[in-house]
Amino acid sequence: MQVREPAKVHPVVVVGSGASGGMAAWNLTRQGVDVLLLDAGEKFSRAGFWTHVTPWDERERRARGERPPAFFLDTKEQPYLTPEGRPFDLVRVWGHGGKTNVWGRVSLRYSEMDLKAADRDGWEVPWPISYADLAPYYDEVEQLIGVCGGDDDSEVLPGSRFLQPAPAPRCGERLLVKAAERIGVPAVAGRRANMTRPTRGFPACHYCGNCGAGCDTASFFNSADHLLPFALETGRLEVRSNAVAARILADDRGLARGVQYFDRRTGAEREVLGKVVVVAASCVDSTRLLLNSKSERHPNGIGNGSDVIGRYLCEQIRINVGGWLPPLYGAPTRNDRGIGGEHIYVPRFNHRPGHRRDYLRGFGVQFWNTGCSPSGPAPGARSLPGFGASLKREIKRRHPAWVEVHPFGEVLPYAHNRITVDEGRTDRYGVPLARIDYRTGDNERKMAEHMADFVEDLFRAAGGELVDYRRGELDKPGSAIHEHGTCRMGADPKRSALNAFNQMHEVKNVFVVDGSAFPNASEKNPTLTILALSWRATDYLAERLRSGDL
Amino acid sequence: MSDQAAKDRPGRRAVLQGLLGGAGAAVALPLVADDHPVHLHLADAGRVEQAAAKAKDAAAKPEFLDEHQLASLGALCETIVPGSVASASDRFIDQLLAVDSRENQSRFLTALGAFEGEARARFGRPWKALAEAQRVEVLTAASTMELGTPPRAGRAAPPKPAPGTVNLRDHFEHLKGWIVGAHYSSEAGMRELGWTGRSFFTSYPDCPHPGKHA
Repeated sequence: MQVREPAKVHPVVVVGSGASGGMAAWNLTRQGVDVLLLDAGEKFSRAGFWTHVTPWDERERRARGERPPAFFLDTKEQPYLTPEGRPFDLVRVWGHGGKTNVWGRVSLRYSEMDLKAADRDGWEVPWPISYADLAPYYDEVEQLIGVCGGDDDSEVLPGSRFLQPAPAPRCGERLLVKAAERIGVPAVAGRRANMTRPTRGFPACHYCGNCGAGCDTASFFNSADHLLPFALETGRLEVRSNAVAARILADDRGLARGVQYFDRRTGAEREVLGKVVVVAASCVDSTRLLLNSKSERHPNGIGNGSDVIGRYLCEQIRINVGGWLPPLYGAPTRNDRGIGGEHIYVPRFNHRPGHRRDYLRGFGVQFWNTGCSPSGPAPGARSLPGFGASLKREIKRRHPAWVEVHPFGEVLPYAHNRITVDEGRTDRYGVPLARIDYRTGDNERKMAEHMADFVEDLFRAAGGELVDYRRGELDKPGSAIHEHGTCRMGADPKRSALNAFNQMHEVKNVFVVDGSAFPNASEKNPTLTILALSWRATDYLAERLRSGDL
Repeated sequence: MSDQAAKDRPGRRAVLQGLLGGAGAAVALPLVADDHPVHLHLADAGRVEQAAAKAKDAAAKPEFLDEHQLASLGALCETIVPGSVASASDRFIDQLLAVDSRENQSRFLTALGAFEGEARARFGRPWKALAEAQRVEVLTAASTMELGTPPRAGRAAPPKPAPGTVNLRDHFEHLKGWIVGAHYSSEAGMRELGWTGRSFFTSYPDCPHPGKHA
């Protein structure tokens, strides 16, 4: 059944409410623009988060039939396709705030190095903007969401001016920082969107470390608590929940005229009309939406005359290594939960003299799960020798000494790494499914070799013992949960889909503001840059609306 | 073309929830030792919940093992990780095995049977009837001999070992993995490590060691 609403034309329809969509709605409404926001899920109630439930209490609760919020979209409800033998892990959160409810909070600015990488090495298209274009927006975002970190700026990691105090490193992290110095690689304080000071009415982090269960005090940024309520207060935002966007509708001129969506509870098909559509459904779902938006004027998907939409999917490669640091053997068990995840970071260093560079781009290094785990002994405990009381003593003795090292590397944009839609395979609403075809290239394998060299050098310098180490073993594609690049910005309309303000070259009333807009992925986590880009794009959009250009 | 929905295990969402809850980062992932069945079980909160609830009832009949096998496992548990019967690790493992794959069930029974056989060969008695010193003798031999099969190399599952290559050391390591995983995922096990339950701070406490590892 299709329900047609009275022909109200919304000034702006935003699809998605995560970092990019939440920012778009917040920034537009505060500038007087009315927004209809479509989200495929509902609000996750913070009162229902299991932030402070111990592992053993969790068992009791589950036995009573209680459940934590179901953040992650079940692929039974919304499948996706991959070629045989080439899996890709796709994690989606359908609900207000999207993945910001449970994100890793690593907040690293892109630098001029990242934005001009293609200018330097000639691989694919450069960003159509520079760091100077983004820096004022980074400043605003960091003050808005509360990012902690150090003042250790560099050409890789600029802009610490507005950062809140960083938490002290854990013991294991201190030893790793020293070891990194010994091998000529500087480590810095991690930059994370955990508020270490009360910010905009939200309390500071209380260091329970269980951020992955959702924060019951909203002490790290999530769009559902930090942006949407403020947008609603303006009276200019309407949020429509359980609205699964299927297609952008185009008029005879090829301009967007609205969005077709399905009610997730009833399956009813609906349409809303809008002067402008802002696409912010996260990279894969946004790309699927664009490619499924076919019409006479857009037979290849809306705004896709260049055939770049869906191509150049970039994630990041990672290797994951753990081991023991003997100087910490026998130390008392301490509370190492902190802000959940690492307190330190190794910025990219391979461009500096004395480091290997037989590949393009670079990698940074993260260190989550370091220290006394709140979830039992380290994974390496099982392989400790012996049995009986001596085994138990050894497990406890080593408990504070576990460290993990996780290099994150940039994956070059390749045309063959792409998302398509399969007309023959549809979801419960009859909408073609996304198919993800992704493979790791030779450049990335060379980079992984350098990552392994770094990890081995670091452990050697720290006097550490690697556990269950398999050199060259890459994490599964998709596991970084950082999809980018499939609707990229660029100066050349033949090689990009969006201009420098995230506006479609071919359809001027469609903006795409999530990670799909990135021309390349860098080695850095993208959310901070997504927020800055969305803010900048919607400043431009608001101005165009005021001037009557749209 | 494969359909990701069809391939996902039933507990995929729970696996992710467990991982995120434990590590506190949306980028968290299993790091090492993920080739052992117990780690897949422990990452599935729903499975753990059911197993733990049923394991609490000391009078309940085992679901996968028979009474003799459960008693043998209990005796192995207590010698390999003292205190693990009090944490109901033997019954917890039985519950996990009851919902495991046929292959993993078979692997476990083979390992358990190997120790039963060794006990009968050396001492003419079943494992559960051995004196503590006799168990220690067998486990010492088992834990110090060379592995019969090479450790896994790479992310892919290890190839099936050739017939006759799996030895008592392999069986020991396999059972130890189950017992260590089960015991230290219990409240008793985690408290032994010094875990005190969740707590909060107004500021994160700095390293308490003199010199702060400088």
